[in-house]
Amino acid sequence: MKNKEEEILVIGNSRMDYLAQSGQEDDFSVVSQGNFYKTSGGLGRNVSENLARLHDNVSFITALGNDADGQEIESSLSGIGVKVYKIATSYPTSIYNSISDSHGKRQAALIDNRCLTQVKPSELKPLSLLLTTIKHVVIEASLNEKVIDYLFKNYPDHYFYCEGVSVSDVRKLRKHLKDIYLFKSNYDEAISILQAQMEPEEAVKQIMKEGCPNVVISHTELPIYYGNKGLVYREPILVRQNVTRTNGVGDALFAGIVHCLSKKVSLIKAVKFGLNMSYCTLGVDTAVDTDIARIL
Amino acid sequence: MNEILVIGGSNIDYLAKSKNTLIMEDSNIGVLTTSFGGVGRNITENLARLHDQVTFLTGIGEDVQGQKLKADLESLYVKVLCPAIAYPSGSYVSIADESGNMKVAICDSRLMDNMTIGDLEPFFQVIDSHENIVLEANLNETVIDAIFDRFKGHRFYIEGVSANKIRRFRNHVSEIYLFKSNLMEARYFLSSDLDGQKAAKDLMELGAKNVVLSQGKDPIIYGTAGHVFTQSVVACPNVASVNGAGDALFSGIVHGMIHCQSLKESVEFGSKMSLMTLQAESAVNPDIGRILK
Repeated sequence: MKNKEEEILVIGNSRMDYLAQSGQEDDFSVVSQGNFYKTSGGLGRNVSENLARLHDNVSFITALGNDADGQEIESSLSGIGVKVYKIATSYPTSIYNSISDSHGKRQAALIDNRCLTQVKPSELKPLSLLLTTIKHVVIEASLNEKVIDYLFKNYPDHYFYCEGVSVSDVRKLRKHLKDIYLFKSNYDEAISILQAQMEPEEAVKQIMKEGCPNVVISHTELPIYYGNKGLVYREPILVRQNVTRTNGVGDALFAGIVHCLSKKVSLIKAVKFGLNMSYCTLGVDTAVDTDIARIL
Repeated sequence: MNEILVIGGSNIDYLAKSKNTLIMEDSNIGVLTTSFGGVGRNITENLARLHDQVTFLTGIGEDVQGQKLKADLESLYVKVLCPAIAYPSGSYVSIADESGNMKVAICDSRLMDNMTIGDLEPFFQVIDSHENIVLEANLNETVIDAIFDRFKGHRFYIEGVSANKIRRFRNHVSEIYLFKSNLMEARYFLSSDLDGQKAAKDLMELGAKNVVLSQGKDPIIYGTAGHVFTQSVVACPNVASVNGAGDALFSGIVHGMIHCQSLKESVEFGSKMSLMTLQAESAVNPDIGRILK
């Protein structure tokens, strides 16, 4: 049975990933023959889907354009029980467009996320009841900075689970570190928010010193460093031989940790659970393993 | 009488443009625009906007964008016929730098590449009922060969598309009523570095009834009944996009010929359409119909 206190609100990005890969083995020319496909993505959307598939009670505030991509994302999330609160926008639904060579190496990629970055705090006000009621709030640093500031200012008693997203976006979280319940980023983002070079272990300590009780720093294929209550731990990642795609793997780790912490499970167990989710996600060609619930 | 059957490709074009200097192998902030393209589709839309009665036989996937493309043509009173082929709609995905110069692109044409003449069998009667048939070289060679073999005596208007693809028509030049390509494509087709006049003559000697060779800003070369002529091109002062300009030229020529205009008049008309298309952002100028006024 779902517990109201464990209800999770995700505020973040939904996007459609437009992925094109050359089919020409050795000769990647400017225009190549290849395969193209679309798949739903976006950190907020991926986290929402992961949590819903773990049977969490999830509400999701996101910006969607009035287009086919937006409709597809909304209906697929609603279909698995996510309560989607759509912020209307005149921009198209966010996209990530990537072109890679026949080995999957990215040649160029482009992000159009005006849909999300143009959202203003005033557009969250009609959702204040929802924001007040749900205490566990997942946000990502690619939100508009004014929206991030608004959330921390108006809901100081909430548990904020934050994902750094990129070295530039993560800095928007700098002034709120003491109010963040879980800070998760990769190593480069951690260095960016601290604006100083240091080892991952030291970075975890430093962010905890700023007042954040739970910190997780991932580092591609290297061990994860994490800490709480002043202590720092290290967890090797689970190496997978048959990797299908790496897309959504970090989001699965984050979602797994959020899932556990929102149920008052220890950070140590939460990280192990998150890593298991990442491992499963590496084996599928979508951003979320639709059968992720099997790990429960 | 003036009914036209177009058999060719449809594409969804995804054109991404970076906001700042494009950094290769990295994620860049920018804008993506989606539009409908494909040579066959562009020709069909042009002809429909000229109020011709057009049937379009093409491959379209079951995906949302493909169905939107189909609905878009149907709103212009085009009869769209699609064989059931289990591939996604054709796509052209490109990423351009901040100045709009394309840096890398992928064309997914699995649907058209895997089309067989068997897929078209349910539409044989429709094909046979049309005297005027437009074919473009995005069709695979097996399908092109089978169409020419099965539907002899029809008027085939062919568009070369690209230097590589135009050779798909190599077995049928004597059955072509209108051969249209650019000069480079014609040279590939003939495997010879001829000048335009000679290339047009050679194509006619091989059996093509009418030949039109474009050369960008340089005069168009055209030939009929063994004679070769040129038509100067009016420079466009405000080019919005060159995308679709060649398809518009071809459409205009087909439209003219079907309406019993001479090849000269048809080329002039096609040139005007091309000029109008250069002034539009999209592959087809939605306002192209006003050329008839």
